[in-house]
Amino acid sequence: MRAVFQTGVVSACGTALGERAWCLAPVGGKPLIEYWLEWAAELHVEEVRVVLGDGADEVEAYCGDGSRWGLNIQYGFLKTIEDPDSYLRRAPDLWRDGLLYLCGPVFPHRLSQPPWPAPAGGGAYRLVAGARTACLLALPGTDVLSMLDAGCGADFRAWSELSLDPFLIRDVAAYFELNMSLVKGEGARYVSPGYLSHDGASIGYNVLIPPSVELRPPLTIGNDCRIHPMAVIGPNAVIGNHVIVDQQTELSDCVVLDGVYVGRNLEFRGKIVSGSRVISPDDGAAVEITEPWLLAQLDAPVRIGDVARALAGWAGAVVLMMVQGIPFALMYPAVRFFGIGGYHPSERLGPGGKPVRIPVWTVWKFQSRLGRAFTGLGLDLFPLIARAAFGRLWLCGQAPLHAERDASLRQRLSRYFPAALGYHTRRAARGDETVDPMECLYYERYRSLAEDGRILFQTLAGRFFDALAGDSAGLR
Amino acid sequence: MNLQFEVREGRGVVTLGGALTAANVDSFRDQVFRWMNEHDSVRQMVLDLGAMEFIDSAGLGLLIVLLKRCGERGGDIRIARLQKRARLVFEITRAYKVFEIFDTVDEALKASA
Repeated sequence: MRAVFQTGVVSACGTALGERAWCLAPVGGKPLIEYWLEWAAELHVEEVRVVLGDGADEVEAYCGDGSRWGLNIQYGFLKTIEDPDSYLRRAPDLWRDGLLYLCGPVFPHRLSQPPWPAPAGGGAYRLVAGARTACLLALPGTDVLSMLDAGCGADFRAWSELSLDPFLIRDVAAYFELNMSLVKGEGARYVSPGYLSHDGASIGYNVLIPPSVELRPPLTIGNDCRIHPMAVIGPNAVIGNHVIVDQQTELSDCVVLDGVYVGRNLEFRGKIVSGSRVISPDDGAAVEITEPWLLAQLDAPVRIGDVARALAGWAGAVVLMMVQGIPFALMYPAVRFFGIGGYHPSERLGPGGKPVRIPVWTVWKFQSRLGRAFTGLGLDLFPLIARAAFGRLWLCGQAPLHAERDASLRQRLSRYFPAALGYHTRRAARGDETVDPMECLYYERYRSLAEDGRILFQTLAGRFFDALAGDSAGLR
Repeated sequence: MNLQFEVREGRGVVTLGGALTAANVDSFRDQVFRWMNEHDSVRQMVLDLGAMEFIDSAGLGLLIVLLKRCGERGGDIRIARLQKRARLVFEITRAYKVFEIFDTVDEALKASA
């Protein structure tokens, strides 16, 4: 049996919770994806394919190679996140031996304590959300594609046979209710054998709790947390990993997501706290607290690879600027004189999300040889490369986003590297200024020195050969 | 930030719109204190926050200063029509324990009668 986990689809619940990947949102003290992996391990799945999207870095860092669960995890990306089932349709024969498919924030709700009945025989179990299959357990020998396309009246087996009632976490209210039911006792159904919490208090590793802290079970505290003196935790508090709760703060009937600093002398009742965002699950109202001494997202550590990329990119940009400087100075006046093309300023988001104006190349005469040579040598990129040399852009990375047009995409990206060169550069040479979200997410996940080198080579060499071949479309 | 002052039934009603943050808290304080000095007889005040979009800790601090100033004059401040987002800030900072909060301006006026 194989498993496919679609973590790249957009979810209303995930969007409300903030920038982090929804599959890592803590549910009863552990990330949602861990429930999926445990389910896969229970079904003796041989290979798990996690299709990444938002927060791909964090998802892969958390799951690793799957050995923690005795699984073999492979990762992939899907170009069109609007049609997540297409991943299954590409290779239907792979799923003949059975498939566990989860798409979107589905919680595998257990109806009883373990041991649970094992699936036997043939057929499939399915959960549909809207027009989409959210969860499918197809037993060996079942035609998965026909199961995906089957209507609501099709003959599916009942989840209750497996003592399961999976459901889609549709909004923050459902997410909050789920956490509350788990912390109030239902969480015992999902505890690994050998672990019990008789007193209703589940506290992770490396948690510092001074004697003056008042713990009121039931509660769940994740790993690596610091609770400061005279804080009151519980009842019904679910606190994620890497959370700091400052002095005299009270947390009850609330969910605090991973990596949050909760300031001094505050009170959270019936709330979800995600970074600097406070959400009221009752009505979905949310407020961003702008003062970091009250509430803040604890920053993710800087990757050493990013530092290396920054240094290499800067050095590369300086070299390119020196190489292109004289040809640009000679050719650009001629390009302008003959009306072949020019630059227009465009307001974009620079590094750190600050607005910057960047020059965007526009061709006016498409068939000109001079213009073809100018673009073929990559001289139209010279102003952007110069900005990279002065540290205002990365040399290789994602397309600089528009402040307003791409605001939702910027929210989805946990790492943003606006750059002079990227996957978008060859399209931009054709006059296509659109930003592909999957390109940005792909780069966020696969960024490395080697990837930067590939982008640099493909951009410059591609343009050069396009010009030699006289590809006028490529020069637009 | 929009501010409107009026006297209703002998009590001051201050209608506040927009955001009350560190960026405009000085301007708000100056205008309210000037109005209070011009209306010595007004001791009870109602803050109508129905159009207030956001408040930060500086804004909350100023409301507490106002409450103290009114208390020194033998009066009080009541808050009316607190909106969802601002209510969240009042709840997490425990400011709801300091102020009396009402659903409508009329209820706040009746309570201060």
